[in-house]
Amino acid sequence: VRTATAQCLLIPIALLTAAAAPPELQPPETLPAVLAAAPARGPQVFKLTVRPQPTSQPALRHRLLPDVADETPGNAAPLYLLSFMQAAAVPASLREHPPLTPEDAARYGIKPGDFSPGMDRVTLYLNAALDKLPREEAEQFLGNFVPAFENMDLAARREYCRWELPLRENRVGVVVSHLNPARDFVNLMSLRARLQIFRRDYAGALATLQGTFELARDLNDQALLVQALVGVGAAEKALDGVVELMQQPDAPNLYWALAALPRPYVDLRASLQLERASMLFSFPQLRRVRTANLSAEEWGAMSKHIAQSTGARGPDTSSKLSAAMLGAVLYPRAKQWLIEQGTPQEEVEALSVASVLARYQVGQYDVWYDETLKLTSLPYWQAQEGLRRVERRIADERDSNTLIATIPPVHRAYFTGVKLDRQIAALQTVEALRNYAADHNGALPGRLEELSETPASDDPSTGKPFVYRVKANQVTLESPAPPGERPSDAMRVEVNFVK
Amino acid sequence: MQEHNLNRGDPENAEGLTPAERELERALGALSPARPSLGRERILFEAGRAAGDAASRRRLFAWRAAAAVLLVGPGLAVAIASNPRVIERDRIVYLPAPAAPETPASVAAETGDEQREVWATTDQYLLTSFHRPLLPASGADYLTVRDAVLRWGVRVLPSPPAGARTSPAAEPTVDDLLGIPPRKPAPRGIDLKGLFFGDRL
Repeated sequence: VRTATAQCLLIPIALLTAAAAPPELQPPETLPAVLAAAPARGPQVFKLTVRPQPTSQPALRHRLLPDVADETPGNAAPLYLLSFMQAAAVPASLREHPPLTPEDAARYGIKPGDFSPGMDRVTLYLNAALDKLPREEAEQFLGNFVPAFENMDLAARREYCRWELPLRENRVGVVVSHLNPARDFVNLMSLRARLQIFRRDYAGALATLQGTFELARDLNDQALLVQALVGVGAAEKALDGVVELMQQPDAPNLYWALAALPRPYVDLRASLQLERASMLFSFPQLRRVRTANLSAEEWGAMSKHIAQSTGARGPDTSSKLSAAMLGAVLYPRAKQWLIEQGTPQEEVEALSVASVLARYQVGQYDVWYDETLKLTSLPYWQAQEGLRRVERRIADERDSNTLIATIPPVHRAYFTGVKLDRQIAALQTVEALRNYAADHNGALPGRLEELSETPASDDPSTGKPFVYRVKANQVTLESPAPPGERPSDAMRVEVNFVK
Repeated sequence: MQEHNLNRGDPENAEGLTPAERELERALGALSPARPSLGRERILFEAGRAAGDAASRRRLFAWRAAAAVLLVGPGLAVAIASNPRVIERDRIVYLPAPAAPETPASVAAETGDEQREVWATTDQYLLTSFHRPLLPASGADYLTVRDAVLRWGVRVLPSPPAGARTSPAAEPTVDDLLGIPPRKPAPRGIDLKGLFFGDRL
């Protein structure tokens, strides 16, 4: 009896101990839990104070991309990489700044939300208010990067840019290590433009901004998606410089310079095509699927290799039983699909089960990739609903197909590029208003349709004009978040006109 | 087939026995009954004790069962309550959050349950590879980097290996990316203004 009683007492104790002790049983900090703590985000807001200013004569006197007449022969990529290397060679100690106090932040006009005691020099000089920028100190700091800037200026004016990255050789592990140096250099370019604006060297500032805008476009040359998105980020940084320049008392009107920028500024379609091809670069054995009669072992090994290499969550084939069950479910569907696609029935019947399944899965990957890619040829506001619908279908399919699980969320990538175009369009419209105000003794139009000489640009995310509000000398341009997207995907430009 | 005589034991049919059977009959007849090893009293005692043991075992079993239910039940309840089973899902559920004060009604999207469900659907797709690292380490494979960049923006691009870094900027944390105030001194040189799902690259 005593033994039985002891057992009864020990069991719950053991259970409680097991529940509390092993750390691996503790729930991880999941993203949903983290998200719950994230503050709500409002729209992207730009606040500008501008003055009426007519457009320039000649109209394209000011440009945001280098003039073709200034181009020199050759490939820009080696020079870009050289400038990145030269900037990286500047000792890190020169970039460091002594720890900052909140009083320092106030002295430099840094917004509390942007302040960090450990800011380095670049971050400090980029976040300081323009009128409180320690000019001499910043100029001296940038002096360390003169050789890098010289190569950058040359690169931005080369005839073409070919990165010639080893996409086919390096496969999934393709190098992206040049991208952070590129981003770092874009920050240095932004600082150089700020100092030029500070000195009222607007021609110099425009030349610097041209370099950044050109780099942004060049990054999209034969680029995988990540590199193209770094290009988007570079162009956004350049637009920050445009915003700063537009607000200067005697700033030129950049309406035609903005209107001349290509749209979409960074076309992600080529990158998405390359992403698709990169699967074949990464897994050349997939080419055999269309022609060979694979054994179950071959296809199993291939699927496992792809899943392990990509980290994609595909079907559960961890055991022979689960693999057999999946095959039993998919095989009739796969056979029917191959026949519908034009493969003769007798040929399908002669194929191994593994081959039928393999051809079906590769075929479905093509189908769903095409379904997304085709929509990126439409304007975003026409493609958005279809992209979301297709992505929901892909999400359903990916559990039975490892390859489908590697298709990127195209919708979000597409919108990232559209947001850049939306910002360009909004700034172009602000410049149109500056021109109108200059022609109308400072008065602002009641409606955007009144802008005839310099028409307002439509919002590329909606295909319609921006929501325009004017009250005395205050103008607001608004772009709502696309249907189904978050409030932070909306944009608002608040413009204060002063005479 | 050999036919068996079923009445072979009947004395009236003794003539039907074989010689071997007659010999066995004689041998058995010579035996006398042995004295029983247990007396009547002993048999009655053993029967009583056996009956008592059975009843005792039944009572003990019932007691043990009751004790087990009383002790294991609460134990399990406490264990389950203190350690709920974790089921990882790819889906994000947005919890109610106060609207940003600067959000104008005209541009603020709905934040009701239906809207959150739509976002959750979108994010479910964004998080298909949730089991990959949230922030890619240096040397991470391309697809991991791509997923993280599409999720957070290019600021999560992994830094080059130590010694080859071009910027002293520290790598962002998830809290940084979500705009959550730092719990300890902020990392150096980071320009993270509440970046969220690629808001600003």
